Amino acid sequence: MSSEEQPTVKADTAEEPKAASPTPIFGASSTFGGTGFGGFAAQAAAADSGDAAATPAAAAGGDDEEEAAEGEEECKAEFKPVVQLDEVEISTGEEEEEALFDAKCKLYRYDNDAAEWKERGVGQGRILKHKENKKIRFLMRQDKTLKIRGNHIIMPGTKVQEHGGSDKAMVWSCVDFADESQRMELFCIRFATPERAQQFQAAYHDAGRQMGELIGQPDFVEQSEESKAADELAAEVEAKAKVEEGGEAKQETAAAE
Amino acid sequence: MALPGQQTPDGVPSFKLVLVGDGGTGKTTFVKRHLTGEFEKKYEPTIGVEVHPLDFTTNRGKIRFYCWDTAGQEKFGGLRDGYYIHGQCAIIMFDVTSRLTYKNVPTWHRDLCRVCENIPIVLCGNKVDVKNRQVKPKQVTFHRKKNLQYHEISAKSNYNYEKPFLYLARKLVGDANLHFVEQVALAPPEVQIDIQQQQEYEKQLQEAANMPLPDGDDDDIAE
Repeated sequence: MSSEEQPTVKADTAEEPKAASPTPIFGASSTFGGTGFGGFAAQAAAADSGDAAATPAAAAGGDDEEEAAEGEEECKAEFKPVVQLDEVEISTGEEEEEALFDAKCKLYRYDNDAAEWKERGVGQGRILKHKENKKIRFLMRQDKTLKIRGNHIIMPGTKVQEHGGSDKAMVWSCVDFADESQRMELFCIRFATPERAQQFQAAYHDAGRQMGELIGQPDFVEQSEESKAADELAAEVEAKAKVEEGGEAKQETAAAE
Repeated sequence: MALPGQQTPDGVPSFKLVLVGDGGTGKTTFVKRHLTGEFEKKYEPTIGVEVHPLDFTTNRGKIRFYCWDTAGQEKFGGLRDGYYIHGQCAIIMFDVTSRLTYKNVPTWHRDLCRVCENIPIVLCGNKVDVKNRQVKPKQVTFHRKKNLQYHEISAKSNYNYEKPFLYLARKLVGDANLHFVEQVALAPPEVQIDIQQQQEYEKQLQEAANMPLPDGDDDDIAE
């Protein structure tokens, strides 16, 4: 995870100096602007360079978002800092864990009152296993802000099933800890492809089995037997799905349940 | 709640952020996006003000913005600039699909600056995901005159949605290289659920599994 996010952070900081020092690159326009704007030459140059970069994209009918990215410049205004904060050692909380599953996803939570799915975040959805205590959790972080949007131990017997309207999405229930308090959640996770969704389902079920061996099966024995059977079926279907069409496998799952 | 500039009870440095702009430009949706991740499509005008704490983890530790999400519509304005007092930073939002909301930016800026002198301000052009925008990037010039930071954003597509907070955090902390880092992922507790509860959840899940997901393309989850 941290190694995956690292390039993003680096890329961000790499961008900054470029934006902050346009003067050498746009030296000509700086001199040009200097006649009119005096002391603000550097700033005007920065502004001009922004426009200059944006214009070709606009002329080419380019995407507005890309166009905008080119046009943005860093404001030069100075402010007195409000607080002084020291650099801190960064702790992800995942240092002792390895990823059993890791894919780009969109996570939703079900809003019971509104009776609708609400977006929870876009980012990497992962299943992580602790190297020492062997516990396995689901963890999902929001892109860019790296906030935690899903964080719970994968409990034995948890059933992950396909969303009724999308074969790229899976749903399950859990007690989640993303906000650092326990909350019952119905989650839906959507991936780029049905295959990825099935891989997630298999990985989650497998993690549930491993957790069952680690902490014991839940109290509700009947339930867990059913779930086990369902899991085994799901695993069979999963194996078949690799050979067969995704759509057929889906029907089998539905029939099995 | 901690007063502006104070630490929160758990020692997190906090800042009062004032969020202004015309009604319907997406202020509340933007805040909710950061708060819960959801994208609220329904428009319900904010009455007066709603204050939400927004936490970010940076390479200089955790920080919190107390985000004062103010009413954009005049008739629901409440105390208006009474909400701006002790504001330490601000976001002025307009809607790039509505020229009028950009035209009104100077008024929001003037009122804000009367109360809050010399605070870092980000001008945000929201809804840049919309194909037919009315205010083009080149037409946005106000920030240059007033020395504001400008960001084009989309609360819908998440485009640049972290940038306004990143800019403000950098200015408030005085570190141009400040960046967001992973929020620490605490070990979640193991929670055993009894059979009745579990069955209830399974039932709810069956219903939920047949409810449609919000519209949206897969561009942002493409691998």
